[in-house]
Amino acid sequence: MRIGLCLFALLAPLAWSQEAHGHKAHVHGVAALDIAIEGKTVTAIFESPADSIMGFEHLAKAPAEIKKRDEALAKLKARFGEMLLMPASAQCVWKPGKAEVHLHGSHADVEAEFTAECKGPLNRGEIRFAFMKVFPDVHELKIQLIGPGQQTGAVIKHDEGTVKLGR
Amino acid sequence: MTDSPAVVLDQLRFGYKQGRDILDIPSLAVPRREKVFLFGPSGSGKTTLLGVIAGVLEAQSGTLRVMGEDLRALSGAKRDALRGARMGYIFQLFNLLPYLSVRDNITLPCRLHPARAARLNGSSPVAAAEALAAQLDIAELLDEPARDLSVGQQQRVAAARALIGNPELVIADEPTSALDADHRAQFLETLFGCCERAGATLLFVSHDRSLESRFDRALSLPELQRSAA
Amino acid sequence: MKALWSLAAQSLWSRRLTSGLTMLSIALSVTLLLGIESVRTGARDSFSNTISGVDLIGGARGGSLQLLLYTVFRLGSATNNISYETYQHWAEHPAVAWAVPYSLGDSHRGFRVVGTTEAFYKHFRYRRDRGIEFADGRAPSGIFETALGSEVARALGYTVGQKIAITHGLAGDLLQHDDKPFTVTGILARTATPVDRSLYVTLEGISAVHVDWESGAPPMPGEEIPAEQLEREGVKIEQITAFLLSAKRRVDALRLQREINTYTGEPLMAVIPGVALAEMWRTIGYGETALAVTAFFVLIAGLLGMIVALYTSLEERRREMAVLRAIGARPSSIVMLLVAESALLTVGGVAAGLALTYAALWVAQGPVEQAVGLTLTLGAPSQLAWIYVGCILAAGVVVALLPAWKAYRNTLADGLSARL
Repeated sequence: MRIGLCLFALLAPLAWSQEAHGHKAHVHGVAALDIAIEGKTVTAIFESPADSIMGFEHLAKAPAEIKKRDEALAKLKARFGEMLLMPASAQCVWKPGKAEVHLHGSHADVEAEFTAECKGPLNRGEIRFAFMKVFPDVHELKIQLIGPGQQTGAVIKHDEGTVKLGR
Repeated sequence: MTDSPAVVLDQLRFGYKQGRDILDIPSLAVPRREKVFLFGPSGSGKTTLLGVIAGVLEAQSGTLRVMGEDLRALSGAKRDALRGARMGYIFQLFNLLPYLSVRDNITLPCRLHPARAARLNGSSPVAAAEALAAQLDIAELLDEPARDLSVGQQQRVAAARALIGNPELVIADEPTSALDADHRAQFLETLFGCCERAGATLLFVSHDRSLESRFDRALSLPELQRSAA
Repeated sequence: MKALWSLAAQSLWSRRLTSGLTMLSIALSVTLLLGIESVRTGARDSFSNTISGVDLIGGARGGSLQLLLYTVFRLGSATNNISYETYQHWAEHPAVAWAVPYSLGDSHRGFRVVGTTEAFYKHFRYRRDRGIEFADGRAPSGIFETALGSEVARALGYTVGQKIAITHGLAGDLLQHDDKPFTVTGILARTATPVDRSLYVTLEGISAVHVDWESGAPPMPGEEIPAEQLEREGVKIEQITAFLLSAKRRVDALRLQREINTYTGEPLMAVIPGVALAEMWRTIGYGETALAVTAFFVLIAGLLGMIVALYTSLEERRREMAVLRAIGARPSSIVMLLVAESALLTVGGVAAGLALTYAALWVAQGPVEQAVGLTLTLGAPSQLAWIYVGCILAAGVVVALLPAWKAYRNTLADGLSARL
């Protein structure tokens, strides 16, 4: 038991410093990306502070703001497949998804969901990311991935790094 | 090939530094099977001459043929191979690898050069080493580490190593100077006997001229040099 | 060529003390590097094998790693409980395939007591798809019944039918619930996970031992509610500590996580076990890197020691080189001899290091498994370990080129006339 206590003593400071995922603090530039793999289908749920996607967080009223918002959401929908790059061998084709702005008090989040159908295997290769190319303000992604026999998380900063598929 | 002289020098010049010749020998020929005594004061270039003949040092000009081979035309690797296969070399002192047994020291040339082992007329290096050890009266030392031997014993092991595989040329650089008078005579007798049996030419360097009468021929290095002429 | 290798071996053997010490320092750095690597991969495999098929772990809001540690690894403790109604809400959620509640916080002689339901024995999986099995007896069904993890039964020598007391809290045996003894109904088969180090009772059992306690203090003498009365009247389950969820579809798990995290009934959180583990490895990764860097410097020191030993021996070996030249060794053979010597030292050091690593793992295996329920596997070295070994061998040969070059220069300069 003593070793257990030692291990715990090592981990304890970490344990209390962790932030509950999914109830993340609203930090501009930091987006959450959850990926689920079920059979041949990949589902991605993307959530980002609205500021990082469209440049403001209040309710769009002026025509210019509405235009800005709609353009940003359209860009997110149109180019999602360019930002979440599944391995080429998986041969994934992204389907049109939905993207909305949700107001939470003084903050607003963009929430989007996309699915892709894949012909190739989803248990090998690496997922790469290119969100900053499209939305320069999204500089950090908190990733959760669950697939067959796989659960993993990663923090991707400046689109650098990959998430491996499969055990 | 065996009719060619063991060593032929013609207009040979050697110096460690440019323009300062240590050796400048117009002519020297050593026939096969001859036992030659080479003498001269310290610093007269005796060891240097041996190094040139052994192919470790490269002469700057002139002709040098050893056992019919034009040494100056051979690459370093070929000279090393020639020395390893067909010559034996005995130093004044410290001839042995201290971490090897006597037997391993004697057979070492055969292990390093297969061509040397090929000259054993079919017997194994170990058998040849044992035969030589018997001739040199060191048979009981074969398993001893070389570092435990007396100087006299070491020199006899060195002779055995130089003689294994019937070399055509044995070069000995003051091999007896560390021995007392009794051992010196005894060592010389044995060395002569072995060289004769092997049909080897012996090039023996010393500054101790009391030994000279036992040789076929005695040469003074200073007198061989051009400056003496 | 063969002659040079045996010559190198004989030369090293003649200097066996320094050769041995050089090999030892290389071996120690190899052990350190491979040991860190083995423990790292072993711990990762073992941790991720501890729980399978669970999409979410839910509990009171706090640290995600803390939640993972106290539910799955039985390390640390929860700061808050959640209400049983909240648990039921999520357990009956249409997207949920199955749920397992955990009620934690009590212990028996240093082992933790877990209050749970039939769902635990039915759904809990470890090592991908292995379920809970009973080595003896059955799962507890009555209030005062308990099943033991295999390590608990082994360490305390308990058998089915024995009566034991549950201790309130996790510390010593101060506050015993000994007015309400539990009967052992079953002993779980060994899993080599933290499951083995707990006792299992029903949720009602946990409630029952606390039913007449007030503000965490045991009842005054005479105020205890008799066990028979509790069994007759039943107990109400007020709260649990955490729960495991499996969603019907994986994407449902992600949506459920968001729902739980934003639940307004009480502050909750849900973590995906693999994600929390990945987070833990990321954090521990800095420590691992520091250790690996240390091991790397030990290796550098070992290799430096080897060069220094070879280099300083060169002066006294000048005579040896001249002798080798006299019997026909080429200058390049002298280089080869020295490279062969350091190659042999490195190979010997690496081999000894590998042996030492496995010996250390073999010795540590038992205690580590008993203490934290982690199995350190003695498998073949990982790919990374082989890369380490390859690099060390290459480094051993490369660093030898320095003394070898010096020996080469000596040899050319000395010829046959090396002094002492």
